[in-house]
Amino acid sequence: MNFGFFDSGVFHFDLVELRALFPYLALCVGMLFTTIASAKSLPVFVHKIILTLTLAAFAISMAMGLGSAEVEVFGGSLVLDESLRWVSIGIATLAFLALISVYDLDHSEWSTLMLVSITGMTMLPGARNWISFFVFLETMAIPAYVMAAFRQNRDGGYEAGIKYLLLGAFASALLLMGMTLIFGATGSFDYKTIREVLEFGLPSNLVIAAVILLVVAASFKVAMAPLHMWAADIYQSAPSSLAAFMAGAGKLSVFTAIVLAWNRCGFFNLSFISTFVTALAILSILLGNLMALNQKSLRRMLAYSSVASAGYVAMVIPFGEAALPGIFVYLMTYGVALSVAFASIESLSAKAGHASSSNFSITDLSLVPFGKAKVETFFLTLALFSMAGIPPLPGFLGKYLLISDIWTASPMATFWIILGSMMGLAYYLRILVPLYFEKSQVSGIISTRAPLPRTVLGSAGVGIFTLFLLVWIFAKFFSAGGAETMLSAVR
Amino acid sequence: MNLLGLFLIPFVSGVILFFFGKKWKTAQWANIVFHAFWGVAVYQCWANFDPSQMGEVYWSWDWFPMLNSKLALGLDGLSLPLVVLNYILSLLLAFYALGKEKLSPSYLALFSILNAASIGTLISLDAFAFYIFWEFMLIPMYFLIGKWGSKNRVYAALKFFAFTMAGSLLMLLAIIALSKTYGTLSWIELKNLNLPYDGLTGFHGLIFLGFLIAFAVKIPLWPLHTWLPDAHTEAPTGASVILAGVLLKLGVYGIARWCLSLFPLASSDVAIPMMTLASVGIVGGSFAAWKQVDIKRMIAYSSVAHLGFMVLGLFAFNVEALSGAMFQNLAHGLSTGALFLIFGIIYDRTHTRKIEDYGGLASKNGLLATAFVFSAMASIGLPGLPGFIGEFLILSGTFMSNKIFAFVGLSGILLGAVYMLGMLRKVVFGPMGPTVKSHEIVLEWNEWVAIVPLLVLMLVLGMSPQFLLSKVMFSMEWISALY
Repeated sequence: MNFGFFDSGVFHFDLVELRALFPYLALCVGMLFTTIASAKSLPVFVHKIILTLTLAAFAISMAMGLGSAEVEVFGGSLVLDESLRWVSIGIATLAFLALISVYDLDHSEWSTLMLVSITGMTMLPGARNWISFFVFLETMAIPAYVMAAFRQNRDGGYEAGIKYLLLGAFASALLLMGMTLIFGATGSFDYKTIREVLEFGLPSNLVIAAVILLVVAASFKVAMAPLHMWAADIYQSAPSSLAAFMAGAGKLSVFTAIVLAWNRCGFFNLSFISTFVTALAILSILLGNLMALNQKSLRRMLAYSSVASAGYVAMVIPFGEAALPGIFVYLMTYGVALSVAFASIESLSAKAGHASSSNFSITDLSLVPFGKAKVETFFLTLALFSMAGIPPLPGFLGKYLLISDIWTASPMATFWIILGSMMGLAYYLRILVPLYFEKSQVSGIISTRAPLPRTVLGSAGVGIFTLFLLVWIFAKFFSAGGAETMLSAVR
Repeated sequence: MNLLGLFLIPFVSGVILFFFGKKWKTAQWANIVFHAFWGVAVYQCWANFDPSQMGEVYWSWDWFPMLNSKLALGLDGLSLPLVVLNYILSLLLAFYALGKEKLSPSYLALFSILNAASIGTLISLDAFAFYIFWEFMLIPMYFLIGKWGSKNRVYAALKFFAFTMAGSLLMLLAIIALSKTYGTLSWIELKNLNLPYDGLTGFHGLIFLGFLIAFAVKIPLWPLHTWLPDAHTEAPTGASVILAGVLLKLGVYGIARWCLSLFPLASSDVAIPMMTLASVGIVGGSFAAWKQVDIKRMIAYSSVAHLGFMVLGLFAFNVEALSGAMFQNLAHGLSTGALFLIFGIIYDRTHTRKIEDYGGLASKNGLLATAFVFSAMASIGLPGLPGFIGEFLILSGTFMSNKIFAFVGLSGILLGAVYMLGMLRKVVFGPMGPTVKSHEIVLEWNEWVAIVPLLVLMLVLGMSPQFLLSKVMFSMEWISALY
């Protein structure tokens, strides 16, 4: 009997593939349960428990795969290799962090949407051709459009969602156009074939146009200037825990995928594209930092600072695969710091009597009653110092690795990162002034809503789990040969 | 030697102190108890110190193999005096803090963490670990100045942070370059590699300059000194004492450890420019100190001048000058620490720093005035006090290598006497000023406990410098043998 398409290998499974797919099966089971939980209108903590179990199963099964050979599934459309496993564990950790601070959401579908998005995010680095890349990217992005608009009734959530959707659709169109052009130029969507073609002869203008379109589309996804406009609105208006997660984990996933695609497709052969990426990076660093200096709303400020941080990462992309561990560590530490900062701001704004944290500004920080928000203040401080890259906080490690990858090769690129860090210091430290150095204007809490965390016990449990996972990741990653495994995936 | 305890004890006690909440009295006594534990560790290190080694690693942990970095700890003649000085100043400040409600548990906690960071900087023999501790010092100091300082504190704290950070980033680049080129960041391994030298603008010359500029900002060497007067003036008393007593010294220490030892050829190349800058610092700092109307600002500028002396000594490269610089490190830490402490105690009562508001302190509180004059004399470098020995050694060493700079340095001593005595005349003697008249200046017992040991130590060090010099001599000979 001839099954035609079904016999071509796409739907052929053996045991190795099935075992490799276990993490994703866990995610699917989790999606089923969260859908039931939303249908039955179960309380938030049920969602949290389901998500915790699902993500734990996902992270643990991914971690158990570390060190083993890469596995092709779905006929090669998805390849589970070391970099995908590392990024998946990282994204699961960031998701745990988001879980701690999720509360008070208008819609109960967030848990299912989050799992769908995580599926896309964690598959993205495993793409070996542009079709898979596109499918995984959209799997990640479409739930994010919905989540961005969760608060349609307040804080401009509706506006943010529409903006994000329209610009996202625009970027997707650019990506598809780029893919089409590159298919036209090289005759393949496959990374390996494209690389062979690019190494064969001088690149045609068609290839350059195609790659520019791909780069522009990707730069939208990671909120690099000049396509960063959506970021400020999303960071400000989306539910804070989800915004932090989508920003941190999304960046981790997309940047890893870009670096892998960059090296596997051999884009480093196109010197013009390297210059183009560097130009975008410089623009992001300058624009992000300058705009961040100028923001009133803390969440908007963080948005612009993350534009700058995308610039730092993009700066090292032209330097090839060796940058991968640095990018991973930098974006992991940035994602953690961002989540912690968002959760702290959410809680501080509640204690200062603001109805929402969207417009919570630096001057409003002096409305936080003194001594009544010690934990949040402390964690916000840690997060800010980490983002500024001050040792001994982990953010320093990320920046150190980023710089150490490029500085002997290009002092100029290093200069921009250092300049950006110095500019960043100005607005990070500015936040600490009303928090610590000025007398608070009020003495008691005038809260209109419950400050974080509402379910202390559950949050503490997930928090400790996250901490262990983080320590484990860094211990394992920095142990002898840990980061090299990630690089082996590229070669 | 229990080197791990040397910085873990203050760190852990700092963390514990955060949790004392409003119980500031208990916290202050607990702080003294913690200092007792820490003292045991410091004493152990002092007693088991082996003066005939340089850069030996006593404890090491392979913490970041990927970054070629180990947490390698060691104690030698370069670091030992500063570790002891740091401990003594911190202990005395713990006594000074007793009974002051403003110095809350979080102040003490930040202080302990600052101590942990500065001790870590002193005893780590790995460039990456050194950098981590070096930058870690900024965080507690930023909060100490910004929260407990006087009127212009936020500006001063930010200026302090930005200046030091900008300098340190150059050191970071140098460290990365070393790590990428040689695959190791251990001080002793880098030393044994005998790093090549290809001119100041060559690869190794730039690495050297990266280290040097970071330390020059911290020292602070003219013209990078402008953060210091602000930071000193606005900082609370305790922070001023530690800033002058320990943090600035770390710049001198850093030059000796990372520049002179690893890059002897590059160091000799910059000797003349560095000595010139140091001389400008000595003379300019002295004149600036002379013209100040604010006492703390005046002491800050006198620090610029005194630190210039140490740089002069470092770049003369002979045993006399080097051991003089190290000795002056200690002498200046004690004398300037005492000046800041005593003036801090007066300021607690009068709340003014203007010289013109004072006068006639001697007739108000003779004992305190005596202590103040004593410390000022030590700062000038009166024979019998440690400042004299340090400056004498530096100048005789400098004389051997370059006579002109020795004469400039000599004039610096003279100028030091001019501005110090001028200040003493206006503050301690003369007719009683309005502020002194209207305020009761009577010291608590614990404030005497904080001051007196400093004076005794100065006298002991000044009379018999040998008990310290014998411990550091080997390291100084080791460095000067490179030239």
